[in-house]
Amino acid sequence: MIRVLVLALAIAAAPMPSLAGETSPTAPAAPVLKDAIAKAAANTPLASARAQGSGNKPDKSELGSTSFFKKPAGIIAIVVVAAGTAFMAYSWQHDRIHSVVRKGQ
Amino acid sequence: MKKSIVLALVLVMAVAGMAVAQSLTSVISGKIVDQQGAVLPGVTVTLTGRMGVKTTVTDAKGEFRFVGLTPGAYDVKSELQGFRSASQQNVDVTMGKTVDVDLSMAVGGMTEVVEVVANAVSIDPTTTATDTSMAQSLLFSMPITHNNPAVNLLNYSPGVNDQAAFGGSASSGNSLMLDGVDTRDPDGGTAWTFYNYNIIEEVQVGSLGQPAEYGGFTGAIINTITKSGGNRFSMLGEYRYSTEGLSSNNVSEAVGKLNPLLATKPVRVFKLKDYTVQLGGPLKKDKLFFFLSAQRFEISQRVNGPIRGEVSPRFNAKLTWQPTSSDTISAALQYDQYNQTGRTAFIPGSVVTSQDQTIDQDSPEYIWNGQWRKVFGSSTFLEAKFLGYWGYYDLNPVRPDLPAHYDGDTGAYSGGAGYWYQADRTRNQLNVSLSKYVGAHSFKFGAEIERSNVRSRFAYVGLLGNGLTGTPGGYFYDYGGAPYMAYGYTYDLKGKNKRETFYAQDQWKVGGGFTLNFGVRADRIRGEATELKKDVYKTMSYGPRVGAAVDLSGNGTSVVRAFYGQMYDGAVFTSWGRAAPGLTDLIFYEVGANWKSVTKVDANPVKKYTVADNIKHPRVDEFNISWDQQIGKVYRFSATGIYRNWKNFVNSVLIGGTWTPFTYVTAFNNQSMTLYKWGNKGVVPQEFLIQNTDSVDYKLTGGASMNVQGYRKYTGAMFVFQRALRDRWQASISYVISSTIGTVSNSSTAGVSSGQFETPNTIAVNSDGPTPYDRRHEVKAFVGYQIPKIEVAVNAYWRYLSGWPYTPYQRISRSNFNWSGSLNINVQPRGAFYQTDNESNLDLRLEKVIDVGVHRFGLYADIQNVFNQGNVIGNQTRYPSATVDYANGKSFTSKFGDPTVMNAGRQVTLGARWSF
Repeated sequence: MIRVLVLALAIAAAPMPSLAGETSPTAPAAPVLKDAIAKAAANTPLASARAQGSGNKPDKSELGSTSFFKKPAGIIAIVVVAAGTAFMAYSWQHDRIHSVVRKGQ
Repeated sequence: MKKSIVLALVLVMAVAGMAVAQSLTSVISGKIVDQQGAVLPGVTVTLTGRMGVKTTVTDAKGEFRFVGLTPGAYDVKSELQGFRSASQQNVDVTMGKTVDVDLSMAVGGMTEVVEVVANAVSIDPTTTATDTSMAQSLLFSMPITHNNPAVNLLNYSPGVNDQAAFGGSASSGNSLMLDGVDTRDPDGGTAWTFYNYNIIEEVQVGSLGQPAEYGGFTGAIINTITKSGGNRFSMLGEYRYSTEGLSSNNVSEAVGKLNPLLATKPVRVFKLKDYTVQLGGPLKKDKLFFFLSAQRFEISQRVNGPIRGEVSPRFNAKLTWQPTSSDTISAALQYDQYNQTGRTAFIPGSVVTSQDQTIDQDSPEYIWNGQWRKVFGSSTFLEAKFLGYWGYYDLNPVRPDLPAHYDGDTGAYSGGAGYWYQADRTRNQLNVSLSKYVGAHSFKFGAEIERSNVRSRFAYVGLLGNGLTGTPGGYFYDYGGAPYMAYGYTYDLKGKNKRETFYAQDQWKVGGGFTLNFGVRADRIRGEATELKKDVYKTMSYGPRVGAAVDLSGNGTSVVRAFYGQMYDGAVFTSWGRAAPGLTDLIFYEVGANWKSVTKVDANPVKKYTVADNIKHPRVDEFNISWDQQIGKVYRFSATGIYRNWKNFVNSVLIGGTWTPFTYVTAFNNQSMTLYKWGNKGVVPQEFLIQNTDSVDYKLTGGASMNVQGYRKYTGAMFVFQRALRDRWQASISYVISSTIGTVSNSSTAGVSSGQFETPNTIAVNSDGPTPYDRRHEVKAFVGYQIPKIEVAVNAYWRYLSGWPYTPYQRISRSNFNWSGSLNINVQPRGAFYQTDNESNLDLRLEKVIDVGVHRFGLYADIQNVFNQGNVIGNQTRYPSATVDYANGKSFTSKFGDPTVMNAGRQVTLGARWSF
């Protein structure tokens, strides 16, 4: 157990240099905003608070119009979704384990 | 118009979560000031989200509030003639949270916009709910098993481990909510709905210090909000794959010698093929949106014993309609099947040697879900939710011609799975709530109505063939490899849970950083025996919740909280279902040579159960005190002390029974024990009263009485350290030290039903001590890092758990007790001397994300149990030993303490996804 706690503390302690840097009086008082935005953007894959494909952001792209689905990428997307749904529907019938006592239900 | 960035324009940008009403929706509020800090009334504030635009105007105090928002990312913009506009983009507001967005506007003629993206930890300085959830950014990046999201995600939270949640039963004491409405099985309170991990938009995990709007739990809660469509078309295609070749054997030679079954049949995934496709978007801009999802989840794995197969097609559809800017209406439907093979039955998985000893499961279901949200101005909000489901699950033995056998001498199991089971369920629940902001008060009032139907049918397979054909069904009890006896019964139990709940709560910001939270929840729960058309179970409960939060720092960076509350469990049929008619007599049979014939020799009349008039519903009393400290903008540390005490256990007690003590010497350690024989058998019938069993007096022959206490208590301290994503990495590390002791276990439904109190032998003899799911030490660490240059995300989850306590028991023949069945008696104090291996597992996800325009492509590999640790997580508890059939007629002796269950070895899962 002691080894476990030591390891946990070691992991917890790892951020401390960064922490010290943030509170250091020698640290830049106000980072350039452009850099901050760029840094945040670089972190986006990890920062995504929700599952991908959730469409939970305001619309600011070509994705606000159905014309997107007339382009190759849009067509492929429709095909992928349609194929996946069709196979799920096939499985719905084909993979069902029918209970012996509910035959006909 | 030239768009410039003037940092000075935004001097104040506080993003602090302030939970008022922890529901499905969110609130964005704030204050607009000028450069001198003077409030600005009359400012037009525009909120742009995925479902369109909302506007409001600041009041005389310069304040604004948008209530009833769907969680997601929003842009906030303020405009006033003569001032430069200010805005904040990508304000990410999560379920049940209030985000403050304070903006400062400078005098100027041009419209200049400042965009700020923030990423910081935040502390809610007003709530008393201890936030034990993992950051969602971690949850969705981690190598989490997807089989059953509701249960699995809970398991990643501090204090919740497999079967226990802060000392409560995690299998039956948790509230498992989908879009804010409980979805548990109305029979025993376990998980019923199995849904696609990818339909989760948000998830909220918690348990401690919950306000009155949350009820129906004595363990923990998980609230999952599902995805919806928006103005932006969105799509997801994901495929996950694994195979036996990507697994490793973690059974050591030493373990293999003690248990050849584990060596030859290690836990692993043989095949995983799981895909999801989703599409969402507008049918009419700002007004009508759709969301569709299809999944086919296929897995073949050995969890413990036989190979378990599952194929689950799942389909989801949702329509969201905004007829006005203040109304949101949604309707959703899910259809899924849960087709399983290899499920275990009478024969424990650890000794199953053949698929012939398993059962197949057929379980289709429909889930419907309608919601209406109405916003009245900026201070009142109405929310109505209706969710229900229909479904059943049937358990069919693979070999209906093979009854189950148990050898009382050797402890060996043989034969087939042994029974049929059919479970029919419907559940409907309506939740309505009204939130009102008045000055320093945030009120919420709500009502819930639940109606759920349960029908459970059980029958042994035929002793001499298929039980469906009418031959007597039963279970063989052999002795020393020879026929001894058989017995059997059936049941068909039907009942309805009826619950009406009312709650009122207030969050009162008294001032000076002090916030008072208080409320009360009233639950009227009744259980109706369908055939009797009568309520046989009737309870009325009032659960107060009182708490305070003190903002020591004045800016929300150092907060102390305290909470006391009483939480009542949900309505479950299991606690009173034995009082419903439908149980047949217990028939005993004499068994002929070579099990070729059976002859009925005796019958115990059906056990009769009635429910005490004064019965009270099970609850947990909770007291906790916590300290949250923010360090800089990135770090957060919290410490919480927890005390929980469960009350109102429900169990059955023999009416009018007297008990004769006798001494029994166990060969385990040659210690003598006092056991109890039914003293007035034949004088009083075998009838039971379902009652609260916190204190039970057993009458002893001769006139004395013996009092036993049914209790369970949890004491714990929880420490959580979080680091928000910054400089490419983030972390969340927790440590919980706890103790759960008592006479009533936290396993399954032990607290609401079992035969534990029917004789004093299983409650008064060696029953007090650490509960089976008492995990003394628990460490959970999530760490995520984005490697520069190659932009590969590395996310790790490490879990360390103390082993489970276990206790030796001896199966003692019924004749010793004058009882209708043999009893398993602990021969040492419970949990005092033995525990399973400590568990230590590291899981890893490596993911490469490539953005191409609006498209995002991800390739990932999940590595479960990176170091292929082999932990024994189950040991033989039977004394003296058990004989386990091995294979092809071979058998081995499993002695007390020998390994019976192992964790899974290293397994690699590969995944790919495309989204926009």
